[in-house]
Amino acid sequence: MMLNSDTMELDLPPTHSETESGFSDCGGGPGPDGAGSGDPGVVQVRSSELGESGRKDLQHLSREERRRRRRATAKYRTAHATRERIRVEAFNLAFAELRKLLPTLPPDKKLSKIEILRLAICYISYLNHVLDV
Amino acid sequence: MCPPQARAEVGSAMTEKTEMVCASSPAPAPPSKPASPGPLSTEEVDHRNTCTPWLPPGVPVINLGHTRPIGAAMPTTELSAFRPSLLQLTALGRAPPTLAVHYHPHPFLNSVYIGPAGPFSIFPNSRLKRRPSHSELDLADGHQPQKVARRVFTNSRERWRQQHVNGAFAELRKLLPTHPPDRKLSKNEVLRLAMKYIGFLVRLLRDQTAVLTSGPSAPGSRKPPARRGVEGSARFGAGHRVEAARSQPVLPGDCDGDPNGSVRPIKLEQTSLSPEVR
Repeated sequence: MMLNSDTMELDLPPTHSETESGFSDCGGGPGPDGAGSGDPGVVQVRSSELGESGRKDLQHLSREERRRRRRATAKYRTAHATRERIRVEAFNLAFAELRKLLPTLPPDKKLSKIEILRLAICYISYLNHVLDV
Repeated sequence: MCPPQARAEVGSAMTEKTEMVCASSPAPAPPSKPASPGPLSTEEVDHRNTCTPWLPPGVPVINLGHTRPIGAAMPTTELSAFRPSLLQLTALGRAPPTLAVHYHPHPFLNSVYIGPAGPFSIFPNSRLKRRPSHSELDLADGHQPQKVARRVFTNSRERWRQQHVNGAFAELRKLLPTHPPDRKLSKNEVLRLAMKYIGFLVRLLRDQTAVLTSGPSAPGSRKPPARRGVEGSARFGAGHRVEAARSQPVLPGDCDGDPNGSVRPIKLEQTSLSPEVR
């Protein structure tokens, strides 16, 4: 659930940028897309499309099909992998920073993610209890 | 909101359990086909052999999933690594008596399985991919239930771990003040808001302690000492309690090394706390 929500939130801005880049790619060069893919079958299919007038073929394709093909390109995969790596690094960095705020002996003892979460829950509950009293 | 969330969690757990059951039943079918390229009769025999022993090992796999939460530390994981092998051995012990042909490779399979137990547990996926290609037909027949059971066990353990991590995130989310209270936050946002909230609470506790320590001197300077003296004694008592509790938060104070960054979180936390006050 949470992972899905994260993915949805992250996908919203890239879809806008991807749509823009997608349109530019479609208008600019179906050729380099074929070269980038590297598959001979795909290259042949795209060459036939070019021969038959790419615009009509692109118009015939549904929006979902165009989106699928755009997302299958190496460029999009690389961008997606980079975004995912950045997201994971930020996630782990947040865990490390939260770990520094939790009181433990020794202070620099390594804790797993579930232990950090449970310790944070106990610590916040304790602080709330002390302040309420 | 708490009860419906609990109900949703229970519902999700039920669906996950049903998914486990569904996942366990089709699991033996795919590996048996590529492992046995022989005629149809041998395929049918393989299917029957794989089907009959699947019922007994399914139960111990679930039991292992339950035993896993008890052993959270590393040494206990090693102990649990040995336990599933014993359970699998007992499960295999039941199936071979029905067929004399399978009785002979039984000890050899056990000896082969015990050796790579360590690396098998570390990289179950890679081992499962490598084993079928190298092993013979007879060995493949014996290995299939063990490998699939191992994979199912690993998947169940990972699913259990993820459920607990997500549950802890949900509990932590409930403790954080936001407007509206049931606003949905991503995992990263939950972690960062928890950091700010902890920093705010620690700082509030320090300020409260400072005020209490300076409080008793103020009423002494005022003219009517009788009434305010009583209030002073009450404050003294509160000061003692806070001082006693202060021993623990001192540690995070030492850990905090960014005084500049702390100023901004104070404002953020104050704004975040205002909805609760209202």
